[in-house]
Amino acid sequence: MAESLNRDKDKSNLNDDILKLTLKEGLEQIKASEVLIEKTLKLCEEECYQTKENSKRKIRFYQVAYRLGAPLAACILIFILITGNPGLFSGQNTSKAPMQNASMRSGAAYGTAENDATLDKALEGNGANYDMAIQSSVAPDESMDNGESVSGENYAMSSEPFSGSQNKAGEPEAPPADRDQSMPAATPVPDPNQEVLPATPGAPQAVSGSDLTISFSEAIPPKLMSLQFSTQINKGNASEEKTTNAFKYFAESYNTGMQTKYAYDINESVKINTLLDSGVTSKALLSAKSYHDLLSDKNYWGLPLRNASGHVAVLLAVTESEKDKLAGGSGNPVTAFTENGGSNWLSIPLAFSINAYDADKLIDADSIVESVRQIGENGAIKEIAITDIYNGSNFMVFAVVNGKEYAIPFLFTLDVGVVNGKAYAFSEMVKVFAAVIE
Amino acid sequence: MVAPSEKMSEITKLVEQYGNDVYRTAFVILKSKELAEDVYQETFLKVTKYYESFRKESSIKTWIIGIAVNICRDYMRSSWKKRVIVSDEFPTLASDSDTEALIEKRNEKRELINAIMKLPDKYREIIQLFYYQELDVKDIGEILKIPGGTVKSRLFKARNLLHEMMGGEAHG
Repeated sequence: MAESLNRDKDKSNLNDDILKLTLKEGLEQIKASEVLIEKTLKLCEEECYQTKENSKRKIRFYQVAYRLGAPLAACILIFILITGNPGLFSGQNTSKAPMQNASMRSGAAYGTAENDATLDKALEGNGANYDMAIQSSVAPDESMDNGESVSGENYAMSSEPFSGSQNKAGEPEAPPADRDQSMPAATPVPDPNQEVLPATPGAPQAVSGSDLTISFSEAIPPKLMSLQFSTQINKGNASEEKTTNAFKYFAESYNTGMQTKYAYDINESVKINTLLDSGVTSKALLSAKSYHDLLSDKNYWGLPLRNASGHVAVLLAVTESEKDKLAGGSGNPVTAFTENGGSNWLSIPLAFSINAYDADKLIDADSIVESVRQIGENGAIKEIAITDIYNGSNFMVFAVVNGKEYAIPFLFTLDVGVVNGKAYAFSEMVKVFAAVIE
Repeated sequence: MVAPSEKMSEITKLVEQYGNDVYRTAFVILKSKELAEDVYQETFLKVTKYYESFRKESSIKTWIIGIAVNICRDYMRSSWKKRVIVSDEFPTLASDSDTEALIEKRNEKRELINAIMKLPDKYREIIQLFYYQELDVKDIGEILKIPGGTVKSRLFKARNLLHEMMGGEAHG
């Protein structure tokens, strides 16, 4: 029951009871029509039986799983004991463990430190050296430290050698096993410290307290649009010194407000590009020759907040804003920050439906590079542009290699039949989206 | 696994029990009957789809209203809302047999409810959840993903705005 919060009952006619009564009486006449109820029940019925059909296949698996449950559990337990404690049965020191933990914590989903070392070695042998210039994904502090110009739309990060995988004889590697988008991803290991549970498309997470995350696959929208702040998103000139203060303020405000202890590193911030202001239609997609044709000149920063396991739990969308446009908004939990110098900032937490593991990859340049390598594209990556393609809850990373453009989807609420984290040719991806949003 | 017929019977009960709550909440938030109808359908479709994974850590009502509010928010963020003409006015409900006093009383209420409809989105949704749905601050915070303190301050601000709109002075 709603508690009474009205402290001015005596002074005002507008007390809790009047508001309650008025709303209830006023809304009495607003009712779902019989036709709507009937239509809805019919849809629900179809959904019920459709689900049942789908689950029939699962039952067969469960039956097998139950039959083999005990031996499987025993094997898994032994496996966990061996891999979790390398020295347990060998009597050797467990010096590898910290490295394993460190590589797990880094959130790099592809390969451990050991794998990287092996790959580096293999690459040296081939004389391969991939220089990567990352566009649109530079943390403000990093840019400043490098003394680079920060004005303009995109930034170039200092080149660094790429250590990624290489396939045999330059043949395209087989893509990773496709995950059925309609099915929940592999269940993550429960972590008592993980405060926002990862949600996967099609799998709702409804939990109490600050953990509440309800996520569903959304209906496909008629056009793609980026997150709309109530104010205009500034052009990419947001990496001034003041940025650091704003980021700290937003991250700490979030932790205080939500009673979380998420870690953040301002250097991990990524610049997120946005689509054309008017949105992107099917027609615009098909006529786009390059991903640049789909982008506006606006962007915002994504500041990742990591949970105790090191996974991205929340992405704070941060943008500089004009003071007189702070008011308004669509009810999103917008936090505002004003610097003494007069600079104004806005932030919206994007935590509603992020699958932590995919979010880790979204902001990890190495993972993006790896995705491109996996389809056999081994050239130097010239550009990487993280782009919000729908409401701050669905992203696409565009990469340019050897003059060819690739798109790597990270869809957290939309389901268009593509695999998150897998690289597709840009031309192929626009066709997929053009077909579904038509 | 619940049998489809059994599940359907439970869903039907939920539609009967909470259907109007969903519809009214969507109407107040989106100010459009057409969009409220879409939200209504989408909400119960999702309830059906994910019914078995409902963890019962909150009440079923909070869960359903949470789904509806999330769908409304997606509509508000997307361009869909812009395509629909929204109205701040409630449909009138007058009868020839109404007495003058009754009409006056009804007019006052209509004025108040129209004022609610003119509130900014974030205040309107919180008023709806708190006063109409009678959800507590904690549940509202969970649904809107905001801390309890923010829920309380928004409620306070919403009431002040309503008071101002109704011709009174704001309470600080």
